[in-house]
Amino acid sequence: MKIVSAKTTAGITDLPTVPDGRSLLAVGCSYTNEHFRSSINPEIDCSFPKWPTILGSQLGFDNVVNLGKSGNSNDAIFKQTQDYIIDNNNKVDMICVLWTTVGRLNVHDMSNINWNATYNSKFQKTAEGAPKTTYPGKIEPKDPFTIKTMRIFNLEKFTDIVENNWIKLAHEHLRNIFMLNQFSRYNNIPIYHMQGVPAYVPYLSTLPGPSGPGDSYPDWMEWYYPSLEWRERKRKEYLKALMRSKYFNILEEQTNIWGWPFERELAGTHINSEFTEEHIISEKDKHPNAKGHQLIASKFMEIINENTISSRL
Amino acid sequence: MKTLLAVGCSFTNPNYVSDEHPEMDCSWPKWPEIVGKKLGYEVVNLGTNGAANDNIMRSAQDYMAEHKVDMVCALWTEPFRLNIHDTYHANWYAYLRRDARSITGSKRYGVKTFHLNRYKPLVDHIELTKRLCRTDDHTRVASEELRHIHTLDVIGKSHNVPVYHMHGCSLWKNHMYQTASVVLGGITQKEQNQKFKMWLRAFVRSPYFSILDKQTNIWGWPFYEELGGEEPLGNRDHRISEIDSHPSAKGQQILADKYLELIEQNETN
Repeated sequence: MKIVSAKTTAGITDLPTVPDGRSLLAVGCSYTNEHFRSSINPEIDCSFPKWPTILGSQLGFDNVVNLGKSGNSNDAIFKQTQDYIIDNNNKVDMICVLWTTVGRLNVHDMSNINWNATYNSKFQKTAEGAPKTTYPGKIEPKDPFTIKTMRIFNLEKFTDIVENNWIKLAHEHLRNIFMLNQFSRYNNIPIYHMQGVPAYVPYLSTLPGPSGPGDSYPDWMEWYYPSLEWRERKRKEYLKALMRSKYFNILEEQTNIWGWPFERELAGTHINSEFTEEHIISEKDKHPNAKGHQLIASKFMEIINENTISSRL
Repeated sequence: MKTLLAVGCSFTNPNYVSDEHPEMDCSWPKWPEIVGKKLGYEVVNLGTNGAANDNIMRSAQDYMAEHKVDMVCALWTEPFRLNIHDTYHANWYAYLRRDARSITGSKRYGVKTFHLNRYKPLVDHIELTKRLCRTDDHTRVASEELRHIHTLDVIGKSHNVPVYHMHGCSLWKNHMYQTASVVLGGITQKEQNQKFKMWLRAFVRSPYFSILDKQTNIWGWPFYEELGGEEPLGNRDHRISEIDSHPSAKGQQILADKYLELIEQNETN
């Protein structure tokens, strides 16, 4: 089986030519990236097979094309898939998508802004239960790379816009899934979806906080975090927005989405919530390890089998 | 009664009011209304000021997910706009032009930009322009533009609805690099020309180009004069004024005529 993968810095047009034969196209973020390296634990060897390779091998594909890129946004996932299929007409036999968090923005196909990782609003909040004053100290961002990419935006204004409209992200996410589904149907290619990184990012909980159970909170974190009640209210708003999206009912009828509708309160799930400590790289780095990738592949396999069997009945 | 869905930016907005001439009555019929009347279709006009092409494509998708339509007409806009999570249209190039005008005092970068000063820009237009223009990243926008058109075509085909396209607002041209050079400095005329050639090459080499090239539902394809294409509003007389380049009543009529021409050609075929 030949594995063709996107390099972290390369555009998809730089991919080598795929040999003839049946091909599985896998798309996603760092959870899918064939070349993933842990920035938190650089000493850990992450060259274990990723879920597309495992799945491709189990399904007997001749080729696996892995477009997974660290930091990918859902918009970019949708558009990269589209680009690849258009560029490689009739060469894709199945698509598997591992969707990512809604808090990333594709800027002219040039970069993906992972704004939820940089979000460090120091501005006064008015919502009940939210912090009321400006933190006097300096909040150190965790990810210097993201901070650099975020320079494209006026952070203060971006923050205001997202805070006031953030539940629209729910609708946007479902539309991306729907549109990629529509596109693959148009091209007669079976497609399967799963949510990897949780989609939901209540904006205040996306502060650069601890990345795992062993990580300690910075001193400002306790000061900053809003009340539980406030966070629950925000989550309910998001779930309502998700269910009210016109795409919810359409996707609800489909059988090709594992864990639909992704959120536990709605009886859904995402792969992240299936992980235990044995599935992640380390306490600090929650990316899937070798076992985690096997788990993802097995869940894709589960849904592919279910759909294959029901189509034969 | 059949329904025509019209999508676009301020060139399509049924309630367009001129920022430059607030006293002017701009309530003349816009192209969707004229086309709809001629065809006997009810019109749903989703034209919005400042809409990015991504918004235009997605507004059609959202509407069609819930409503039946019988025809879609899209008037595409300039590529210098970013859709920020469906909440904001960031027209970063307008701010770049404003800066160029304040540096040079030249009217070629737009005349009245006071309305831009009312708002703090969301996008750091200088940083974004640097990243796009000092590398080859600017060429990515070429394929991005064509992808929007193709995506809307797929939406139409998935609903079995004909889609017709035209490019309204300005294209990505050499002026982009001229403006960038004024603001950022250091891009020679020769480099500007090379960059634009590179952009056009990316446009033609986009995998979407060869698909759209075979289609008959795009007026003026491939838009660029250099490639044998055409823009519908070449004449200054079809605009509101020297300082407001939005289509006048005559301009709207011309846009409608071009759509009707395109629709008739395709229906005859």
